[in-house]
Amino acid sequence: MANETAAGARILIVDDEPQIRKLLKVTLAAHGYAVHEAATGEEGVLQAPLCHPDLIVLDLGLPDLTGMEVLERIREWSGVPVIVLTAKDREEDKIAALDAGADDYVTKPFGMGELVARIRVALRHTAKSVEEPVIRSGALTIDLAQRIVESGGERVKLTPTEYDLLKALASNAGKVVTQRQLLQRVWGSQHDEGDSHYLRIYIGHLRKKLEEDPSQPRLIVTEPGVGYRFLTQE
Amino acid sequence: MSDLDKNGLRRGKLTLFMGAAPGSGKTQAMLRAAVREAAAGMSVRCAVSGAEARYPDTLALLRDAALPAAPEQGGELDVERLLETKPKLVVVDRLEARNSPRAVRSKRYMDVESLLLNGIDVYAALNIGHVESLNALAGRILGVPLPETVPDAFVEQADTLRIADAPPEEIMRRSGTSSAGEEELSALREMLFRFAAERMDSRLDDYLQGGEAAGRRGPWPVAEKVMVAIGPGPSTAELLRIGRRTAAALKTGWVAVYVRTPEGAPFTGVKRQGDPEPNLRLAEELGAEVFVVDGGHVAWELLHFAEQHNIRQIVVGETLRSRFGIRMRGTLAEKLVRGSRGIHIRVVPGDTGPAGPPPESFSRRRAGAARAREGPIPRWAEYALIALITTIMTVVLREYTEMLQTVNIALIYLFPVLLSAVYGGLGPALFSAGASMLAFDFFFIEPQLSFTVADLRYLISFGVYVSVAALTASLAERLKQQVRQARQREAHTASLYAFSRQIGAVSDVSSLLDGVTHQLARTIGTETAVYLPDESGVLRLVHASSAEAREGGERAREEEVVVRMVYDEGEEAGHGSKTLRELPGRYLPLRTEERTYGVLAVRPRLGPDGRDAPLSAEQQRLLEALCGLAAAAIARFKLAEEAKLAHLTAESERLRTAILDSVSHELRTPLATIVGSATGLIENDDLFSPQDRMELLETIRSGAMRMNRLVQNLLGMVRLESGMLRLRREWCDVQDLVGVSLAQIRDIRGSRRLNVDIPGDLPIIRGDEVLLEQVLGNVLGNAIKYSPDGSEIGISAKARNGMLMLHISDEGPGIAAGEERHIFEKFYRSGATRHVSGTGLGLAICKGIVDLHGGVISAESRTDGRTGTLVKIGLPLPDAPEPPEKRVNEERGMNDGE
Repeated sequence: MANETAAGARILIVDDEPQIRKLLKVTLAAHGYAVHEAATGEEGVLQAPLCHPDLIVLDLGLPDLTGMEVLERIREWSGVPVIVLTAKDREEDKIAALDAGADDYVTKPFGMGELVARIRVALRHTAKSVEEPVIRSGALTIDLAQRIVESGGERVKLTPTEYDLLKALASNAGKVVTQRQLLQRVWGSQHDEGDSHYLRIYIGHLRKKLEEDPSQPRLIVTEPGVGYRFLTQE
Repeated sequence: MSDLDKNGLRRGKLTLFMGAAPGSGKTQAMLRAAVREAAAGMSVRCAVSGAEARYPDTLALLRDAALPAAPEQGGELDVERLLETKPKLVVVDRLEARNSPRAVRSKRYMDVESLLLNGIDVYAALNIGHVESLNALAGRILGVPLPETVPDAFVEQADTLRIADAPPEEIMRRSGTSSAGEEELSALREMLFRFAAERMDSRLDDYLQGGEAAGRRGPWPVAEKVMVAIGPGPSTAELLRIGRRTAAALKTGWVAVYVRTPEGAPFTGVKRQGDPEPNLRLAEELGAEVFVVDGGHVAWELLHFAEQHNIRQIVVGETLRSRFGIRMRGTLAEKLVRGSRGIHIRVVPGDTGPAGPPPESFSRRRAGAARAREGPIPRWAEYALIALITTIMTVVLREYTEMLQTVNIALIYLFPVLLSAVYGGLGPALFSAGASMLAFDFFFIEPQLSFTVADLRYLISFGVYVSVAALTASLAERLKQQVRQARQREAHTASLYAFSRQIGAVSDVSSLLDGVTHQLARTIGTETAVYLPDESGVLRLVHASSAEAREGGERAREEEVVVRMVYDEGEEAGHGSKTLRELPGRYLPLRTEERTYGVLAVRPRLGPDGRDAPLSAEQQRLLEALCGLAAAAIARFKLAEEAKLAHLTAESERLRTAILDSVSHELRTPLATIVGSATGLIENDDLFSPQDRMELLETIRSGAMRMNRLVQNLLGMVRLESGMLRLRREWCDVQDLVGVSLAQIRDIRGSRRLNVDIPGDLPIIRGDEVLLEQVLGNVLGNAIKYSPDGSEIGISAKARNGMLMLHISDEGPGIAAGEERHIFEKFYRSGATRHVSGTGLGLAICKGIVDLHGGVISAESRTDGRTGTLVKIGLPLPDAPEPPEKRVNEERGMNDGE
């Protein structure tokens, strides 16, 4: 199953730690990805156009350029998915990278399964050019065309904001969505600081309506300090 | 001065050009020397003005020398500007000159002292007659007083002494005045040479005895000293000068002693004492150690003192006569000689010239004035009252003459005498005696109504009257005086006592210093500044009684140097002490027996005449007592501080050990499992079944995760402690927080049940989501770690009193009584749970984070019947921007309409 979606995808790893590069190279190759390496930010920026990667794994803590600079320079010409690697306690960096166009993040130390799952989601989103009209996750069905949400076959009543919020999350299923991105998509560019307050409340409402146990959510999970992630369940 | 050199501060060198009289050529010699220095490339400033150089040849020399002039202001040396130009050498004429009243320093030699303190060399000119101890003698030789003087101590500190001399004829020719004849000039020259020779002598002695190379030595060896008995009269001044010269000749220190007697005590061999203050001050200025001794018998006290203080010679004046000029039991000098036992007594004949008011009348006036001030009844009223009483008595006694008999009447007449003696003093007593005597004589003694006395035996009665009056009055006066003194001392002691209690109660140095300066301002009226050393030992001005007390610029630098010296030597300096007494301020070390804690600088307020009002002996004693108290109090603070520091050091030592123990253990255990498992897998891959391999890999993972948690906690602690941890406050949903934490512990939870009770309508809080989640994660992690598998973990939340309360309970062993607070200290591990691995950091971090949020965290054993721990976390609830339900409800309505 690992190889079916990812066959042949090229991944560029930009990390200064040889041990991490080695680990990623061995593991990702085992999952059937073609792996390219860059040991510095400068090299990463040079390599990116040469090897035409399908996805870039970028360490934010590089010795020469900052990961952010590398990300910005790649984003100048390419929309290739980027997954950033960060230390745990650098929420600001994560948010900045995500808002600057990174697709997802993985916190060091990370489990390999987690990274591969993120890579798979990111690759899937780029492969999908046309949005599917129906999103399914476990018992939940979201019909985007008709704005109908059903849970276990029963229709769930949602307010327009709740629906917009759910849509913004579900259409990025598996990917982290930052609070700012959510606010922008649901409330538009005029959102203010106070709205993050409502965001919490609407997420709470959504969980109450959709989750079995709102205190241990399985659909809409919180990424502490960063945002939310809509998980798809097979 | 060597004190300064030792402190690494260069003091300027003073070269004195001394002459016998005006016209001896000292200014010329000085100018020539300066010109030579200038030619050698030294930067020289000349403060010799044309106005002061009186002689044509000196003027010509001054013109030709063309030395750059020193800045001046109003005809006086502008020391401040001069210091800015930083010359190497300054040339100053007429060292003794007095500055104008507006100047910062009253005398020119004080300016010079400033320059020297700032490391500038000085050439100065001075005539021998202006040296303090020789001044009076020179004045007598010349027949005219020389008003200005320079203290001996200042002259003695000159590094080089140059004598400018010329034959008397030439001096006379140059000065052109006939004020001093040849003989006088010869005498002055002899004085000059002797002065120089004495100095040479002492230098030579220093050299022979190992000199200055042998380390610090006082100006004189503290061996057999010379003592001068101070009296209140003006002639004592001469005694003091003699004492100083004697001491200088003997190269020894000298003391001046004043014996304070109960005033008015008769037959003590001492006349009534005047104000000794001027003489005490003069003694200090002349460099004596001044002592004031209380006692009734002057001679005995003096001898006793001398024996105690290793004194070889006593200088005493003959003016210290008994009160009535009658040799009751010999003069003081005689008594001293009689009791001297090996001490040399040098008696100086009194100065009988009209140098001042006669001491007798002087003291009388004072005593009278004092009485008039104190008594509630004016003097004339006293006499009137006595007259009245005597009259009334006479009238009454006349009625009963037959019954009473003359003898009894005589005795009754003693009553007013006694009364007036006790309450009125000597005058009224004698008046009363006289009045009674006359009345008794006139009305009662045969022949009556006549002053004639038939029976001459009555004259004895009259004698008794007068004696009783005088004796009683004296005794009463003496008693009163003693009471007054006792009261004064009592007040003094009371104020010290009050102060000591006050400083005993203060808890910090700053308010202590406040107290000291306040007390000083009240009792002495001085401006004070306190210097204390900081951590690096540099003395800093930490307290000043007023803004003026903080001086800037050159004065401050000068003061710093002096303060440093006082601090290092532990001896006082400045005005009224033995060193650097030209300075306007007085610098006292705040010292206990062991060490010096700081320096108190006292600057007397300017008196009404614009000059510094010197301190009286009483004030000095108070000052010293206050200094002692302050030093003791500071010592107390220092000791407390040191004890605290020692405690802290011990504490940090304990912490370090704990950190090392904890961290090394916590790091090594997982490392051991990782390394062991990994090497096992690499080396013996074929030995393991797939399950074994899985198990080993699992071990590696859990070991690594454990290390990760440890590193996380250590980093968290460091960030908390360094203050680098900044809250990213956002709106947080408690349910969300709990959800994330529960997801975190999913792997380690095992089969422990969760009982989550979080109402859906809890208000949203403001906080750092990541950190709060870390708090919950740590607390939940502990709950799991310390409770058995299969037990229940309870999580509940509710809002109460503006706080969001989170309760996390487990069914573990609970917390031992008394440990509820300690478990939040970093690296603290409860003794009961040592077997469970951990660093003792988790809860400390929790507390740090909760504190940052303005919340509270506490732990206790469960009180609901079950064993286990209950951790309570309270976080403040914010004021929500607006009730969110409003908007939500509006929307719901819309939706329903759809």
